[in-house]
Amino acid sequence: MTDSRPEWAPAAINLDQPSSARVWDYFLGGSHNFEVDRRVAEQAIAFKPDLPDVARQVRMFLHRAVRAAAAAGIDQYIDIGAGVPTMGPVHETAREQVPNARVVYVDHDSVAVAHGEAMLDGDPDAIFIQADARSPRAILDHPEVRALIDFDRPVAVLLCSLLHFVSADDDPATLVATLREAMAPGSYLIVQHASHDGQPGDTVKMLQMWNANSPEPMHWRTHDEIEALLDGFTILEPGVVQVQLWRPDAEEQSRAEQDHDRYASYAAVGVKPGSTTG
Amino acid sequence: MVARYTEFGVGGSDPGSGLGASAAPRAVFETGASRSDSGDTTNGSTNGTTNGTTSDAATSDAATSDTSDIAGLVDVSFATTTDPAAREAADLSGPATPSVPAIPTAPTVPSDPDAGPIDAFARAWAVALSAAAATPLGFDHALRVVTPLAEQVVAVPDDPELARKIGVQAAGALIDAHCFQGACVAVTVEVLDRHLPPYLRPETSSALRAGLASAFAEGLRERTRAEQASIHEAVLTAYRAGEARFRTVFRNAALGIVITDKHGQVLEVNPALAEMLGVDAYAARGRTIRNLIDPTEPGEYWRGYNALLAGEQTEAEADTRIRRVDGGVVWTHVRTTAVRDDGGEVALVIALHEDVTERRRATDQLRHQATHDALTGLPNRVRLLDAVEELLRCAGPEDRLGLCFLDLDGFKGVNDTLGHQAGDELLTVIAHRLSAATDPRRHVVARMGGDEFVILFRRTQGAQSVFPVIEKVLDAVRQPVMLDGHSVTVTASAGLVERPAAGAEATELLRAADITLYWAKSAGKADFALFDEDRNAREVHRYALAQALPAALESGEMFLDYQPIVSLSGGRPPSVEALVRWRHPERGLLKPEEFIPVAEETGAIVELGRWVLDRAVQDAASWPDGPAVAVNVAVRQVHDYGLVREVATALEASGLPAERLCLEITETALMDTDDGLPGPGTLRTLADMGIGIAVDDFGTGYSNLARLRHLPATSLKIDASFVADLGSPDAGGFAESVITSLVVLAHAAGMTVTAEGIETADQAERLTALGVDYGQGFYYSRPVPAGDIQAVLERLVTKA
Repeated sequence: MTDSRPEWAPAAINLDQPSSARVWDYFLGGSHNFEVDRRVAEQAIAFKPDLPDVARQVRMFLHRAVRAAAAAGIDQYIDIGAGVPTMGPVHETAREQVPNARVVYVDHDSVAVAHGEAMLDGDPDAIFIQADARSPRAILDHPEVRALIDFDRPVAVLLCSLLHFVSADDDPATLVATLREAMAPGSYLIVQHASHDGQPGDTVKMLQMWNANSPEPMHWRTHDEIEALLDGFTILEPGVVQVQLWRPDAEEQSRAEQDHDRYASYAAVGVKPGSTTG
Repeated sequence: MVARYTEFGVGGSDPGSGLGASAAPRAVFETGASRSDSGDTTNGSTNGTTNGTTSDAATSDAATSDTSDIAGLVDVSFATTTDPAAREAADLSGPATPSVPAIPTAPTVPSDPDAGPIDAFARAWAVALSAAAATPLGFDHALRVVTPLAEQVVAVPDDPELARKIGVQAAGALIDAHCFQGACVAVTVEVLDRHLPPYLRPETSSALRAGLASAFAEGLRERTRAEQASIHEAVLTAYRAGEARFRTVFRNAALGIVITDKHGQVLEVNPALAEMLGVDAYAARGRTIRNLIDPTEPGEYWRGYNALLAGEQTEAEADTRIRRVDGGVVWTHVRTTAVRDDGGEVALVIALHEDVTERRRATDQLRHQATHDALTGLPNRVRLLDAVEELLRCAGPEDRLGLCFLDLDGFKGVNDTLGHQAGDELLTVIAHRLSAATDPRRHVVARMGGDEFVILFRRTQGAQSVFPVIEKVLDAVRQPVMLDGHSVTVTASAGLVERPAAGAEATELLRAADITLYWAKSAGKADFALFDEDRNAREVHRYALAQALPAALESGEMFLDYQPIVSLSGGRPPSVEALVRWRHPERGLLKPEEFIPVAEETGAIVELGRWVLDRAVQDAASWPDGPAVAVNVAVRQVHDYGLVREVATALEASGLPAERLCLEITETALMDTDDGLPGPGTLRTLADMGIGIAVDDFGTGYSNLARLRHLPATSLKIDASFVADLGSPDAGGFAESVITSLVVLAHAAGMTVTAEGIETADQAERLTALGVDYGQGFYYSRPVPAGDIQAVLERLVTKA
């Protein structure tokens, strides 16, 4: 009965409710999850059997996008809505090319945060903080973030599987704009966002099922709405595209093109224009 | 198409591998055809010379070229490392360590590394794996994982034990690469089946598959356990972090917090609450909430608490006064919340106590200020009204109460002579004396403002029962007060109303007491008066008349009668006096003495007088060659600047000659006023206009005979009381002397003399004999309507 819990009481760690972070882990084949997460995940898979593939494709996009940012020399990353990053977390991927990359992970789920902290134990250049993306200032002004990230130099901000959890009332455009204002020119914004564009009825049912069962309802958006969220950024080629089509590896190219609408998800990378001073 | 498997060696350099003692046979063999799934892998048969740089390998990613470079080498450690240097070391050690027994059935081929078949095998495996894995295992990554495995597989000797170990090795690599799905094992088995060296006996290939399957199952179980352990650890950590935050809040909160279980057993008390209650936080645990909290209104508090425990409500909020252990009292604002478990049962009750004692104190202070007089500290008008209303509300049917209004006599004088500070000091002293002379259990003493005080008497037994207290109070006030070195004595006047509580109203009581105070003041001060309902009714009646008078003028309820004034000597023409009458719709015909005094008090007399003047002048003008008319003019009118103009206007409008108008005034109107208002001057102007001025009721006031000569009056009217005394054995002589003197005086000053109230022929004769010029009274005629006056005058003239 969380309704009657006073506001000042300990933060709810409610294992009776699924967490999107742990459901995502389940999709990716991990075991960092609980029965309730697995049950909801399996229900979702019943409607959209390739959901684990979606999760995988999103993760692969994230890797490709981080590599692209790293190739451009970006050495600071903020992964907002990081979840339980087990397979190829941002700091590992980025450091393939930029060994001294510094990374901030952000999630609102206290279990994901505790897990992430354990994962990063002893890494001086990567932290995991608990914050709600709907209060971007809380992230930007967080003392640990300020200590690790130099906002006068370009930074890559990742909003993967995040903005579709932000309702219109919570104003995702302002959320992104607040982040953008803090980012130096040359910064990267890496976005992945679920969409019902071209989706069959079962997928929409899956969304309804999720929204009915999860404390974190989703708000899918159209291509154009998602593109508008990158307002103020120069969108890199190939633009706002289906997630698997964002610069796929050569080996994946043909399969990616066959699966055009399968992943119900758009991806894009934008760069904040202006002269870099970093 | 021929694919030649590369040289395969197994070294024993790594004791940790479990294969350290294995033989490292070099098995080089050829297969008849490539069964690679990689359709694009079109290795030529001349692998030995192309060094693996085949068509598709032209994508030449690092892994592929690595594989090509080290083709034919065996990673003795079975590790999944792709470090070329490590492999090179293994290669070097391989031939030098012939401790591994050779497997005779494996055909050895010359050491002629060729990446072709391995490349095809590894690529097929990598493609299949990256498709099967749920993890984001890209092809490149997959290729890096499987290439060393492929190298080992193609070189496996026909030894079931070694083959099993390679299977174990492969399983470990899959797990490490997060290939947890069964499909990963399935595709691995399929790919292996197609690429296992043909010389393997069935038991060898089975051993490899068995090793793969069992190790995968084992590894997956380990992995799952590890991940579950880590997520549980994360949950615990998060709990602890939350708990730590909660502890910090709980310990440092300014709010007092108490947490109880559903039975009201105290689980936790924070330091803030412990301090509020004056208890030890640690010792408070385990007590019951009823044992800990001691509200001054226990019924109300515990009713709310029990409703929470019973699950009837979820939240409650109240201001509660709680007794501290040391006997003090703390006001708290309490918010109580019931926390329910998953089944909806109340699990905990959490009460937050905010110490609002200071706030309450400030509120009480404000309330006191709003209901008490700042100077004396006595209750003020607001508080007194509240007290009266409460008394009336709670009174039984037989209960009586009293209210006494009290006012200092001459307080203004003290203020004016000794200053306001002394005045304030006096009020403070009086306030103390009033309190001292009364009993707080039965009386409420309040200050209404200025020098007005009120005493409320609870449950009186008739007015008499209150008198002693009032006398005591007035006596207390009368005692000298030392102010600024001066001994000052003041008195007080008081008005008391005492009555049954039933049917009384607070404001009405105050008003009655206030009126009674006025009576006391009028009656000479320094004493008290008791409210008298009859007197009040009369005053109310008079007041009502005064209020109704202006409307009566408008509606024609007023009219004039005229009474003749005849020449006693018969030598002069008669005149008339206009007398105002009021035909009241409810009270009937009212005589002037019933409403003139109150009209004079309220000022309505000015308007009334103006109406009478106009009316009389008009009537007189309608009598051709008729008598002069006398009109009464009030003191207020004489003091009014407009009188001369009004008279002139009336005369002009009616056409009545000034000589035919006489204004009758009282002696008072002749006096000079202190405040410079018009008076005798006005009269002189009027007299100069030719208007007669008669001094009415002469002899009843303090007649200033010396001034008589200087007055503009043309006539004196002797009061009827002297006329009535004429012929009386006692007073007759005196009356005759007075009248004689007045006649002499008046005539000396050039005035005529008129006698009023003549009722008998004897009086008429005596007055005539005394030299009085005119007479008026019932003997001649009662006052008559305007229409009858001509006839009456004619009769009188004839009679005379």
